[in-house]
Amino acid sequence: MSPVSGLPPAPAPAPPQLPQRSGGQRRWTVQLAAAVLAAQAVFFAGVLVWSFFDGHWLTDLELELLNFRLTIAALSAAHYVVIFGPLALLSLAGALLVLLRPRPGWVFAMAVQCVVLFLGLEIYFIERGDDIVELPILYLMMLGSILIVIFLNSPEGRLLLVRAAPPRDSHDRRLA
Amino acid sequence: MSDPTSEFIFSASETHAPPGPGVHTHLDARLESQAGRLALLRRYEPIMKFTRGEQFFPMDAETYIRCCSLWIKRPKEEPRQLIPAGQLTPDLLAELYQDEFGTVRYLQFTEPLKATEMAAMALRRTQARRKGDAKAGEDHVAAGGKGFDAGVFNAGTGRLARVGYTSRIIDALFSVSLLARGRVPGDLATAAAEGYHMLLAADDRHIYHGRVVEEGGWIVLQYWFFYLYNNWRSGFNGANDHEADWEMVCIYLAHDAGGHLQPEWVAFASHDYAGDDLRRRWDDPEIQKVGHHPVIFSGAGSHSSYFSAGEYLTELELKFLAPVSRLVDFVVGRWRAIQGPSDPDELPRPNDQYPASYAAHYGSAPSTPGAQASPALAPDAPAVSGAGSAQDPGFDPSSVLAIPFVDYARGDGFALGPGQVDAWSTPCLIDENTGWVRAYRGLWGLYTQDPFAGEDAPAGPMYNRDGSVRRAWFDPVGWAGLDKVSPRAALPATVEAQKAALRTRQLQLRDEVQEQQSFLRGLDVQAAAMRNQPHLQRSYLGTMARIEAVSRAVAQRQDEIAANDALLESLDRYAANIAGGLLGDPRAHIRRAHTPAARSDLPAGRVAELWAAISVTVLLVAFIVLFLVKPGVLPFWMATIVALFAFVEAGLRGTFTRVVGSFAVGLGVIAGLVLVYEFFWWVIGAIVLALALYILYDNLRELTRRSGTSGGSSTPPSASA
Repeated sequence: MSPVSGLPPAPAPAPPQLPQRSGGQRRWTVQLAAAVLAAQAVFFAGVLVWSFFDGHWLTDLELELLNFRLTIAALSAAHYVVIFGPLALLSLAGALLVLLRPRPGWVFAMAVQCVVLFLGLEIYFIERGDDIVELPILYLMMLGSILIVIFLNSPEGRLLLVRAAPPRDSHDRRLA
Repeated sequence: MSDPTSEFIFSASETHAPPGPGVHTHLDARLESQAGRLALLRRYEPIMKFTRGEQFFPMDAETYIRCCSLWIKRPKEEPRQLIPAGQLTPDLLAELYQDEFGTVRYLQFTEPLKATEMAAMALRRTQARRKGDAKAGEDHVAAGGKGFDAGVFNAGTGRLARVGYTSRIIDALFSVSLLARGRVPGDLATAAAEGYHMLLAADDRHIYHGRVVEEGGWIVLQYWFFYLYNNWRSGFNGANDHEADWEMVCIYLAHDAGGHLQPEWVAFASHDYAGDDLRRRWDDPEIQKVGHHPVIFSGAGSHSSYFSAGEYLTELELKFLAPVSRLVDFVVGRWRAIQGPSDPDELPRPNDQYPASYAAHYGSAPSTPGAQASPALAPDAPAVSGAGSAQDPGFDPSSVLAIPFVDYARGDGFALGPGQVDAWSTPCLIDENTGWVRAYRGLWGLYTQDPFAGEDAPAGPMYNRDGSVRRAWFDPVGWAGLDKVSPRAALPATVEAQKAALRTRQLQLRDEVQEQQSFLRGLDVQAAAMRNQPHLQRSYLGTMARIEAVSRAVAQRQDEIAANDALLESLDRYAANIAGGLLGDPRAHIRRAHTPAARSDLPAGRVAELWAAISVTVLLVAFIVLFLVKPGVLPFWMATIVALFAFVEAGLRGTFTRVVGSFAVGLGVIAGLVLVYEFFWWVIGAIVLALALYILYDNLRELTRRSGTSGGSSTPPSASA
């Protein structure tokens, strides 16, 4: 009995229902990270394809080869083509790894961004005067990588590092 | 069997009442006597456990003095011998002297061996080992033999991997610099070991130098240990070697309620640490004791003292790098704070700083607040700090530019003390009146003129290297941070005194509040009377300003009253706890415990060890190749190579996630600056455009929301919910 009013004590109020943090947020992050890395892979692949079909570099190389001369100039003309192929593969691998194993995927994706940014800065600072510095490709490459680093370092991006809770639905089970 | 020293554990009725806090009393009459002090020292004398392979043990300092020569080094002059070996006596050393500024006096025990002598010595040792002398030595120790430990030190796996590039490079550079000076690593240590073994053959006593002093209600038992040589670097891959080594531990006694002297705290000197982290409460489970005797685990070669057996990561901070180090630490700290923990697995582990035995005794580690305590450093020594687990392991407190070394205090070798392989011989009492302690301010071994001072011998127990008095000598209580701690018996009185002072302050505050409140009311009446009187506007504004100021002062006092009330309540609870015998957490004062590295902390496997062994060479070779092949881009590629090595190291140390995240962000920042530089006006335009679009979006959203709710209920969402 309530000592004041004589009425029976009121039932204790139920604790407020706080929004549950489900695996949905993490799932969204995984998908977004994979999509972004896939887009980066597509970008590199696009540059690669464009390089092949842009006759300038290839012709230079062909000319050198036809003349039985493999000069440094010819190699440097080709090395941009050589760079973007592996980068495309690395980004694609990063996207797949993020989907399959988010935690190592995060680390791998960050390592890929280190490589991309390092190459970008190396070309910018060391290979100044080369054609590519004048192209927007270099800056697009760096900008894309910066945005990915920002995303992966954000609280949402770091959700990839959280070890998955015991799976509750089929999708989570796949992720785990 | 009765304790022969028990007669010296006096009762209050025989002597005097327990001293109050901070009251300076004189030593008990019987402690003034040499026999009384000796008995007290012997009652609590520590047990020392060494690491297998330790070559030097505590010895009589006076024996050492008699074997040394005395030298003087004046500024811009070559060192000159003052007294040759064999003629120096403790009395001669006790003679007072005067020298010009910058003069250094030092003792010298031995000369470094030549390379050929070293080679001959190594050959003799190998032959002896083949003949089984080492085994015989170990059997000798196991059988209770006296003198020395012939066991062989084994660094085990992981040492190189644990210490990182800097100490590997420094170690290599130091060896190279010795060769350049026509010396070989370990030449002096080998000569010293030979000399020490000859001394042992003549006199195998192990003694300590004891001092009993009273300060601030504490009876302090100081045990000073003199070693002939510190061979930490040459024998155990540590930071330095030097002739002579003084180490010390303190046991703090106080009178209990019955007037009996009881041990309450113990502090072990460890490198150049000072402060709270050095001491442990007598009932702390970290202190291992055999009867009344605490156990010291002595660092191999360094002879620093530890409470637990293990391998300690110790950092050497070079003095000339201190400002840079502080700046780098600040930047790194800010960077990590901004970045947060990249890897949730690196989040703080609450029990990190507590020994395993702690949880067994106290359930869980306490949550003590506070920042990292910096070690207070002796003025003339390179700063050496422990890199044990910190309060917040998420932030690594170790200095970025500090050079880490491993201090082995395994306790698996020779043991000295009551009930051990060898017992202490009668100790030598020292105090301010001991001639060589007081008068000789010089170094106790070779003065190498090492710019970092780490290779110079230390001064005596009373002095620092610069001749100033050592804090551990003139203020042993403050040295261990005990000057703020009341002896247990005096604690209730301290609490009561504090409560009385607080109550007095409360009365004073309440009087002041009452006075100011009545003053305020008067002012308020004045203001009310002046309101709406245009000719009194200036006075009115002045009165209002005064009302505001006095109100603020009243509020401050009220705050203080409320805080004091809460404090008084806490003091009541604390007093009740003390009365009930609850003294609280014995480790609450510790901010940064120096704990041995757990086996799980060690970088895994032989790959890490192999990498650590070859990495410095590979790094240097890579620099040379780069310099020869492409010198124009040396800085850029040097940074790249260092980054690559950092990645590999991080992978082996299990910190790859953090390092890769930091590198990516760092490169991103540089690339971002490049983009801003190249497209400054585009960037500004993009920012303005983004701002404009956001404002438009926000306004449109508000507009659509308003039009959507204009026909509905006006009840606020919270009310309708």
